[in-house]
Amino acid sequence: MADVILNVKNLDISFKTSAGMVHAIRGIDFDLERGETVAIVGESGSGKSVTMKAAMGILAKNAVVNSGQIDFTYTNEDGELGTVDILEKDKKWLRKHINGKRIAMVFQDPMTSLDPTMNIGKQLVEGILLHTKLSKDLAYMKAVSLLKEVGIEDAEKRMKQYPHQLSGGMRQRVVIAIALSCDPNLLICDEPTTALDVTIQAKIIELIKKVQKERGISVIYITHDLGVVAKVADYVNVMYAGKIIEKGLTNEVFYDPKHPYTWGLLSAMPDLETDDDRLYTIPGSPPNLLHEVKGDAFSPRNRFALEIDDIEEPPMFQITKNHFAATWLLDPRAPKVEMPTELRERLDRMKKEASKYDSEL
Amino acid sequence: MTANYNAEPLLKVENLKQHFKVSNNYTVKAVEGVSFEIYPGETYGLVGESGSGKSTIGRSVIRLYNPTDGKITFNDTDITGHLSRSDKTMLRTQMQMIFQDPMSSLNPRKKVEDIIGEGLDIHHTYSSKAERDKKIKEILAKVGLAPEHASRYPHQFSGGQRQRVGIARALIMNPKLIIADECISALDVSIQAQVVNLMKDIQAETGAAYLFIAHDLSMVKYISDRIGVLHLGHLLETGTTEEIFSNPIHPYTKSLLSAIPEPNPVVEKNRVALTYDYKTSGINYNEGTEHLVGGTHYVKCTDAEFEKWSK
Amino acid sequence: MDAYFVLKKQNEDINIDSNYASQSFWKEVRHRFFHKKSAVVGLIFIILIVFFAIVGPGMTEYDYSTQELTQKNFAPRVPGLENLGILDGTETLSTTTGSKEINQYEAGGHDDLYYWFGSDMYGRDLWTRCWSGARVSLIIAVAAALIDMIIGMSYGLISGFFGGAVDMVMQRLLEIWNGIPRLVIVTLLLLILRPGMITIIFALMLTEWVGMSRIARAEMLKLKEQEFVLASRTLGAGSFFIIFKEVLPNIIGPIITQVMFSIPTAIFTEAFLSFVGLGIPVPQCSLGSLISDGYDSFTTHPYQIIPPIIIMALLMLSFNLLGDGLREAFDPKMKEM
Repeated sequence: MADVILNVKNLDISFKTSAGMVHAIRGIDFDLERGETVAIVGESGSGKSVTMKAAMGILAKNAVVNSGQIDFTYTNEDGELGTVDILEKDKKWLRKHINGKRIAMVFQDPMTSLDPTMNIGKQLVEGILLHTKLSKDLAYMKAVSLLKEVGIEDAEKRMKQYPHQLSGGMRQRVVIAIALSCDPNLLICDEPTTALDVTIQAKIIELIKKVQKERGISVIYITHDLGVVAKVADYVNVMYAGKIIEKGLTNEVFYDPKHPYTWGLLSAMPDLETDDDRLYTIPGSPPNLLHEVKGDAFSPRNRFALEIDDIEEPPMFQITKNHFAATWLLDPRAPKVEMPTELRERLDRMKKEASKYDSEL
Repeated sequence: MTANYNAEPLLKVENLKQHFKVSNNYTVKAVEGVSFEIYPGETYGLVGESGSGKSTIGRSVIRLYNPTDGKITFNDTDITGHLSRSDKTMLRTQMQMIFQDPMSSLNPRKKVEDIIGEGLDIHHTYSSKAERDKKIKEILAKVGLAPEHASRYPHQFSGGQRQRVGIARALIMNPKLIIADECISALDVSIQAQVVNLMKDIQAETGAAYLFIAHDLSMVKYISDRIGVLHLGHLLETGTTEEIFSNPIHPYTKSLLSAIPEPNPVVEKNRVALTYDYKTSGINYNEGTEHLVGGTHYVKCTDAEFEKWSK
Repeated sequence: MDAYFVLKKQNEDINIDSNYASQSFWKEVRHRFFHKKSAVVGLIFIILIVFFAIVGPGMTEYDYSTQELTQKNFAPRVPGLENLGILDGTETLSTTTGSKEINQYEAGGHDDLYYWFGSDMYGRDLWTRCWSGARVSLIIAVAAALIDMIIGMSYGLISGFFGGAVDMVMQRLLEIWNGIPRLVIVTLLLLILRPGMITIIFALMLTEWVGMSRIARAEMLKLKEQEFVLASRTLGAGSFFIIFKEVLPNIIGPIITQVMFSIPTAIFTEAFLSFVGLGIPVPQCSLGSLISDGYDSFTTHPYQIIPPIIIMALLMLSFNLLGDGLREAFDPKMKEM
């Protein structure tokens, strides 16, 4: 387990609001190995962004960490490996040693992370100077080579341009260049492509994949777009109402989902062959975490809910070595419930198509 | 009810141009000569990236903007230029719009019942308060909201619920055409599917036609009967969903189709999207003319390009 | 336990989404407001001053205009406190032969009289005059601020909504109007019209609405491109419906805040006008004219100027604190304004 760089254990976070305590994260465990890509999938309000903010140590002031540990292993200034619990360090220390240096973040809207009054070059060079001991000239050269690395042509010319002079895709590339400027160990991408057009989305994702491969860094994707997850992730964690309800290898979760919520998510996204009159959907909307959840939080929206779901929260059932799901349907005592036929057919179709590339499936 | 192609088109847009004058020597040409038709009960999908002019077309058609040039015929009435009082009433009741952002499309200081009932209030289409309440409750049930939601304010709802309120507001006027301007792109995936199902149910029940504007091709394919592909204000290719997806002609359409993400890990990881760059492609949209590929499938290009691509 | 491992009965209601949050806008505003102590202090002082402005003049047997020339320039004397040696009616007079302490009440044989704030140079009770002055000042300020609000708001909303040429003309007119020094307008106006409360309100109204109209216009420009306004237009709503029914309820926060800030400005302007002699005609008084009167005998009888100054200072401070609190309560993100 020497290669685990981020280990989140039993994380539990509430937010103090004027209406009362909102229990946003209700016990999360996951880990991330070096060079690996993990996707955290969930709807808005499922707690996926809060989890990552906790990992960056940039939780809002009204957040209360009830329990948990976030161990981050990184190479420090002397080139040695060190491990810290991010929740125990104060924000000042984190800003100096971790944020933007060992863990970098790429946000959804590139405009929010770029300073509109500074040109691209200055923003890049300043970031490099702040976190490394390079001289100005070297920092400038590094900035140019970073821009080239993220696929920006005429890098020297672009250095003098301002964010508003670039297209959306170009801006996101610059943001990625800034994120990479300090050779981070971990890159967190928070919905990096939702603000972009489909044709550019694909390019940005390919870029992140390329950079990750070349540099051997770990990447966490936070997204609700299953297409993105399918393209990039090795592992998937599906979150619902502040808990991880299914996790496993991407192929396991996509080709053999076990949790009814994952079924719903997968079938809500029509593939190009979907001809059914209706999409199978998850009814209702996510619960309000202001109220304490009794039993399974998903139960009110679950077409396959068991009586026990209202009484006790399901534990994580292990399906294969890596594949887990938190649903009572996996309990040996539960009645046998199959996924909806529409989805079954879809998955068969997907597997068939996939077998063109990978004969094992 | 399915689309009725034998009838006269419900909406006919001919050579629509929409320019915005930014300053004395700079004009944004958002829409450049776009023509299409929508038949009663049909869903016409308009796809394109941001800045392609797809939202502008929707807004010009519903006359939030005054079209620079071209002709829009709706319900056998010319709705370009100055509108007479009765034409205006017809337009404002028969054509409705569902907006993109569920946060800003509902007035935060109005109760849901007043938001939904606004059209009724403006056009005085009820005789008593009881009738108004009844209509609102019926619409609420139709879009899957509980009656007690009527007296709540928009901020008490989730995104999907708000979008349902937006749909109810459009629906209460019994429109013949609903313009759905990116109405699902701000929603979560599972909620998107709910809203799309709801829109399909409503169409089956009321026979309304949709102009479905979106950038998500997989949803557009799922919901649309016909599709128009828009880029930089030009309608590059149009045809039935089948025609466009099985036989795309224009390189831009091809690149769009190749970029659709699929929830299929192995396939996704092996897929490389086609690139398309207008500047380096050597295509000039302004020189293109409409070419018939077959059936209802048209593509906008020059004769030489048409020959090259359709081989 | 095993008995619970059966599928739950599904009813049709699963398709009806009945989730909602219970928080209401006004509840949050209240919550944020009462969490800001300075705003609450401001509110309490305003309530106190308004309370005394209403009942204060009736608490004594005097009225604000009756002169009692035999009882002029009495120092403050309060029952109860007089036994403690403060506010017992004595004052120190400095004369050419040195200072001496006298008590007018004892000297004149008025042991049964109590002027809580003292009396002025015409023997009028200052307590009564202060509170009726505060009453006049408050009425003028609130009335002026409200009328400003209505004029400025309508002007700004209309200008912002129609935009283009309408906006252009309206804004240029406003700039010209704003370019004329306000004191000139007010002075000329007070010379032409009969001085009095209505005239002062009118004068304040003519000059103060500009700020309000700017705020209303800015808010309108921000809101008119919002989708809910577009939605109203696609439903066929008329311009005035959109301006007053759709947009106005959304800018009520900044408007109330602005009113709270324009009240102290109006109080001050009124006081200033009274101080230079352009205000309320005698024997009526306002805080400004009281300060002006007290100023005349400031060196000999300083107690005469202190109460109106304190009331005015408290009033202005409190309204500013209240406005500040309201601004943050309505829009917690707007702190930097």
